Amino acid sequence: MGEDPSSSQMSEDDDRSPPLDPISSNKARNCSGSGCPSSSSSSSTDYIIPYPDQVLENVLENVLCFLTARQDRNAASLVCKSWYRAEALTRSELFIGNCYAVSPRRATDRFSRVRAVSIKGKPRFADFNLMPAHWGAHFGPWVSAMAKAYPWLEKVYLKRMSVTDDDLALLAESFPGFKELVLVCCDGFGTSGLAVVASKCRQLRVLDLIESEVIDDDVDWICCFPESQTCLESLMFDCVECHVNFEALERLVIRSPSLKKLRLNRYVSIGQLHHLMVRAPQLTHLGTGSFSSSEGNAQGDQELDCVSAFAACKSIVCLSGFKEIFVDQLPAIYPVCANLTNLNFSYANISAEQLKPVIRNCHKLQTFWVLDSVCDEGLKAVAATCKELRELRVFPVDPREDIEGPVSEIGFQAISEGCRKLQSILYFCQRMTNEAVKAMSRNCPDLVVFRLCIMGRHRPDHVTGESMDEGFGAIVMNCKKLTRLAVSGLLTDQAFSYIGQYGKLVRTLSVAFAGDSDMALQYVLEGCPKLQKLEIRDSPFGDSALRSGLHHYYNMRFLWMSSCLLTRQGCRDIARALPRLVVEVIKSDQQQVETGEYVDILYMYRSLDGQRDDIPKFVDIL
Amino acid sequence: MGLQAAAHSSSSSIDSSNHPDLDDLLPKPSGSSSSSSLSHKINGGTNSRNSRRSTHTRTDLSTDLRLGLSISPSHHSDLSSTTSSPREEALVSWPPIKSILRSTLSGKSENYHHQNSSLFVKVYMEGIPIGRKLNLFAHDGYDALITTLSLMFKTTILCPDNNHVHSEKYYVLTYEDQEGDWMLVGDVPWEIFLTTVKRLKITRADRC
Repeated sequence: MGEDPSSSQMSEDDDRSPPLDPISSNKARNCSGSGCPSSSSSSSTDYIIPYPDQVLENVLENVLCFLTARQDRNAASLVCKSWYRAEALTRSELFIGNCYAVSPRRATDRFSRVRAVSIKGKPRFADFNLMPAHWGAHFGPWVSAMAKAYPWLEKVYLKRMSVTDDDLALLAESFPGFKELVLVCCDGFGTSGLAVVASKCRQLRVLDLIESEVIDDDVDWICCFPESQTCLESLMFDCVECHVNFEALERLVIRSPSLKKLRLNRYVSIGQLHHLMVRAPQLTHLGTGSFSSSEGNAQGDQELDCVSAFAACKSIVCLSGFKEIFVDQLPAIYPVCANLTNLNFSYANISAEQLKPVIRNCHKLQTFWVLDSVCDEGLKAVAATCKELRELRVFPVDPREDIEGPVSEIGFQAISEGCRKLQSILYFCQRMTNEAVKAMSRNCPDLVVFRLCIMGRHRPDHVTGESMDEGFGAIVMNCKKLTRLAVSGLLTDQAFSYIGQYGKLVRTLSVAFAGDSDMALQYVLEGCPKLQKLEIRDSPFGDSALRSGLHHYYNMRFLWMSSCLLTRQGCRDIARALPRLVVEVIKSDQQQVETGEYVDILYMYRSLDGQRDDIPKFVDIL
Repeated sequence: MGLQAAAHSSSSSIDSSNHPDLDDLLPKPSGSSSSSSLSHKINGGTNSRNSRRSTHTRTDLSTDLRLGLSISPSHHSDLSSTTSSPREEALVSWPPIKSILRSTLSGKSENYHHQNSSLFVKVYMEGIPIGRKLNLFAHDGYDALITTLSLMFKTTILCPDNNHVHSEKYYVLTYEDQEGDWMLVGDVPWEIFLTTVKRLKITRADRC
């Protein structure tokens, strides 16, 4: 599954922080192009000068230790210079929302006692092949700087970063107390890198690889963990697409008494899963691997009694995997259903009939990810039982555009009626109606995240033939806590007018194939004061729309616009008007000679350190 | 079948993130087409492809194998006209599903792991302890194989039909057959080679 709920402190949607900004309080906080002097950064290094209120300073440092939320810390750092210094000395968790917004040097200069670092790299649309490879977001410079600055570093969390085996080796060698490595949607490294981490990080408690691409270097990394008892609490490698040495894995599980979270990859058969579960009945989070028999073993595994293995694991609250599910074995999980808060069936191609006996027992379920193979009927079953549901994601088995589609507004509306506590929904479908969306806006007022993906581009309400403006309008109007919105279907400028008018808390907005004119984008840029992340593709927005956001771009983490109607000159105008903004123009196809009138991809973001020095050939910084 | 296909369809252990040299040759994994989708919006018609389309993702090997390994981005090859799957017209980048999920699901329905569609062998190079894996079925002959390996290991490998130059600068390709003997690659017809090869090794030319 995606980010563990317990790491919500680091989730994108929580980000309300102003820029990491060393400017002291008697200068304007808003970097409005007046040329914030870089000399202020030198004041952050003057810690040694003696000053009168040493006692008060110590008190402050001790009190600040209790301040953990970074928004609070940022606020505290702005009170005055001594608070700024004290806060910088006591901040132990560093969050970098955009790895290019600040240089590693500046970050490590300001914060000298960091134990946990969280860095995010590529923009989200890179997940969908919109960004060419080798764009950047290299972990290298960060790990090099931290190796010198933070010898006591314990935790690293990376999302959409490019990490090499050498980076992992440097990490493993530089931090003797290293405890937690979480790599989400990362790439560039392989099993060799994992081997170094496993063997050298003797205090390792957490090694979580989530939706990352891991190169198969033929290295048996599981064997590289120390032979003695380990401190491992969490080992997640469900995304690793290579064989693991099962005997070594079993031995590892046996000598890891603290292991609570284990997510296996699809090369682990159900028989092997059974062995492991017997060894680790204390597990709370389990990724079941393939959940089917290995090829030569079909007969033997059918005799397998996995039910007792699941019954023995009384603590399981989070279940995922099922990468190649052998549905006959699904009843094995019944013993744990009643305790489940988190169930991920997003790789399990199961029908409504196969889902029902499972979901019927999942009264405590709060997070459910599923494939649309369960159809509207399956969703109705979810709505009937899962009254505590907070998050639902429905993914398409067949992500094409012009097919019938097994889920529709019917399942959607059923969910809204049954799961009133819903806070987050991601729903892929082929057909939707404004009525159903409006119903959800009324039934689920706690919605914070609303992402509806009608897969056919520009598809209208399939009953009335109208645009989907009114449905999305109702969402922004009625869901007062909404911070994240993704729109789809046929949308006119009116939808965006609603968003600008009512979406006052929206921080993240995703737009694709929508809108009629520049006004749509203007409504949003002028109307949504909290907007931080805006990603737009294939929509008819041009240079004047872009200009309408000049007052706001310094408050945003980034703006992405691809396949829109922006010209190079339009982008250049923005770059000139806002010197602290990095304006990247990216060619999406390297082999194409640059002839188009419009820019392929515009990716722009605020930065304290100007242009990055690692731009590939296909990127121009204006 | 071009070089691009061969290089791209090898096992996931080569991808362009490891081999910057391949950048110039591999089609870039970006699927969006700007002007065509805007004209779709304006005209209300179905999306028409433009020549800048690229359909590959690094993990989308199942497509490679099924469609005959290549749709070159810069010119519509003959292959694209003969395969008429509806996915032809679709964008790889839409709907917004992550590659990992997309390829896992499509791989399942197409029996991605079926024996007949791939033959992975290990390849080692002299002096480098870590080997790589390569799908021989993804290549149409010795030339393609040698080119792929030259790129993978960043070195010059002599073709079997060149005159053997015994020099330490160059490498040659050898393979272990079913009997455990090590032979120079290229001495038997390609199809027969595929049935007898167990693994490959790149050794220095002066050692042969």
